[in-house]
Amino acid sequence: MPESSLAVDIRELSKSFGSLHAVSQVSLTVPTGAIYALIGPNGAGKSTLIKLLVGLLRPSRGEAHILGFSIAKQMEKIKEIIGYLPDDPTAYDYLSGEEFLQLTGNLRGLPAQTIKDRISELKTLFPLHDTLSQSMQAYSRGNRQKVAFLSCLIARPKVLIIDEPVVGLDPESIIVFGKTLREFVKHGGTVFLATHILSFAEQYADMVGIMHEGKIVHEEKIKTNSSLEVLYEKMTK
Amino acid sequence: MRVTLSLLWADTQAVKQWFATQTLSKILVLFGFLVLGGFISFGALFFSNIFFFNLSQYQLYGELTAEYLIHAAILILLWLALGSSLIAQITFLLNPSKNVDYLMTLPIKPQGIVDWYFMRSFFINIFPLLIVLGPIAMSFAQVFTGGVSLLFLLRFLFAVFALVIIVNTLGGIIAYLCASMAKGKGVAGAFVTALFFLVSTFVLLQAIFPKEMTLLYRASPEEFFVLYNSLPLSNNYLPTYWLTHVVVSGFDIYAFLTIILCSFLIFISTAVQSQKIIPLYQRLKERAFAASFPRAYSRAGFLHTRSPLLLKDWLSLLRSPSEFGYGLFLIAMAIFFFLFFTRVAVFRPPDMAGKINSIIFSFVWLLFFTTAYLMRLVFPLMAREGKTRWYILTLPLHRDLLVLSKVFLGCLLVIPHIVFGVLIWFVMPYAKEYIFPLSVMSTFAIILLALVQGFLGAVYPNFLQGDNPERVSTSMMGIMTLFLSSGIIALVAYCLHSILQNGDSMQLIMSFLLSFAICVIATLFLYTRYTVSRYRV
Repeated sequence: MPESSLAVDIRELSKSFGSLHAVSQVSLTVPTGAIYALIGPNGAGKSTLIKLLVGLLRPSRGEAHILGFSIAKQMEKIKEIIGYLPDDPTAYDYLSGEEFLQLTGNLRGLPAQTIKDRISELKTLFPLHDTLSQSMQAYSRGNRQKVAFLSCLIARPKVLIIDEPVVGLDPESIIVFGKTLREFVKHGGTVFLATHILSFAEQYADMVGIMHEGKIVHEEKIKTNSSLEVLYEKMTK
Repeated sequence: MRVTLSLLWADTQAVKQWFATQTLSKILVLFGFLVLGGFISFGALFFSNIFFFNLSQYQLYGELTAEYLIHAAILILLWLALGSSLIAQITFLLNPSKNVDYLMTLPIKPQGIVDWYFMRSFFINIFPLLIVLGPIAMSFAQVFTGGVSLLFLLRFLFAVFALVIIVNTLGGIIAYLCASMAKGKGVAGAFVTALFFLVSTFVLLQAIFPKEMTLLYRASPEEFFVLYNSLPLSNNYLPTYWLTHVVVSGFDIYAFLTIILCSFLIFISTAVQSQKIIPLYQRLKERAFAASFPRAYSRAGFLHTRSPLLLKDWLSLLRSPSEFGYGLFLIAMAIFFFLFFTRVAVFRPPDMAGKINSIIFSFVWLLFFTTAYLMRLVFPLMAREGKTRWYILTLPLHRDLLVLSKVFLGCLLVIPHIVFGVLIWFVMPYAKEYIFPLSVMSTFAIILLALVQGFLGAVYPNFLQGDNPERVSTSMMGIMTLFLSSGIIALVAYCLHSILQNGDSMQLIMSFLLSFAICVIATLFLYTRYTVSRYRV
């Protein structure tokens, strides 16, 4: 399957839980090399949409492709090319941050030396200092978020799918996070994220989609002089 | 293989990490479990030696009876281990940890996860089976084959390994086929499981102790062989028969059949699980996700109750199927044990001392089940406030009230045990003439245990592990509570023995026990007040 120029291609995707339509006929596309921010109020369906894209939930109807791979039929291929950061990145509390990164590298099939090199590179991204050698059980939410983000990057994914990227991060780390995402797309990667933080979307995203009651109610490219706050208020009322 | 090894490595890190903090208390906990395991092994070896030695005097008949008992032991262990494996696998599927959620987002083959879980379960299950079956088999070898040879050890290990493989693979297949049905059934599911457990117990007991068995004692040599060969467990199509045969007779065609069966089960189990794990995970996740949406519970009546704390704790158990199911499971286990005991006891009526010892044995088992039930449901009640203590401890409530509501709930939760503890003496052999003292003593002991566990659970609650009652009850404080509970059980059993055996005055002994209970509860209450006032939010 040739890789598509569209990193994310969602067509009429729906997910229902009984009578509740969490995601309703969503269609959107994200070109390769862009950051797409999905914003919307609580319960709008953002997390459900993301879980559909990473294979944690099955769609009720519709289809989606990531770099040309179908989420219904080629999930294993998709898992190889994406990095997923959930809204509550808790896993393997009993490992240290560094061990968690090693485990991720191992499970993703990276050679030992590559894992070592990648960890050394990634360590410099955030000022984590000694934190990486400590048990993750004692991590703050922010540090947990940072380590989970590093684990997403370890195998050099092509698409990052992130649910609430900056919740719990200190201002300095938010800036590092945003800049890392920009750097990532500069090298050909694509980011699809859901967030509540309008200023983050405004500052770092290329495109924004407003989701309300399971539907995409508005999409637009971010312009330097646009006010997302006004638009958001208007579309979600 | 790489995935399996990586995940097993992560498990070893978990063990290391567990020992990294509060190392001394954890070593003590481990030591406590080792002592318990040693005690069980030693007890099994001691009684098996006596029993097999008696049987050996009946030559071939004795040896055949001993073989039958080994087969019965293997069958019972298979059934218990299968139940345990099934519960573990269904829990793994219905309540996947965050770690499993994480694995599902990685590009790894489902078989890697399945193999990892199989290996892990294999290591976990093999030790209890070795501890229980080992002494019985060793005793058989000592008495009937003149000693434990290397070959016998190999045959025994072969049988245990095969048993674990059968249990894990069958448990896996059934769990993967049933998990989808079990999800969301909650309390009804727990009841159905308990009912299934009881029915299968009845069938198992019928198979092990059929009516014909009572005739064996009076049968002539010719009749003996005819009767023996007609017993359900003499059927050589049973895989447990093959395992027994390998242990007692040697490697032959039955070993070969066992290998074929295990290979077949591994193949089928791996295929079913690898194929189903991801779709099943997605389906179960969706149901869990859907269940997390706001839903209406039946009216709890918080507005009208004068005991909102009690009601809150009651709902926390009632709305948690795993806790409710565990309580039912333990009660079903207790019923199984007593049913089993009533069947065994009818074959060889003992003398007077033997009868009283068997009553005391049943009494101690009843309290053991109650302790296990309390350790899971009552002891962790305060620790369960872990994530909500910011709320509950900042309310304008006296903290004593918080403790007392949990202690009171503990007393309510043991009502089924009290009722069971009275009714059981009507059906237990030899107990009918002692119904009054037995009922009074069991009621007293059960209430005292509930009070003690309620208070001790509030002394140094493990708030950090509050979501995991197993960890709470195996913490240092949990082990201390277990020891204190064991001490109380031993004291009450000793007093009961004095009443039944020596005819000591029940009024006098009850007065002593009541005074003892008042002193213990008063001390615990004061100490708990002291520690509760020092809780940090």
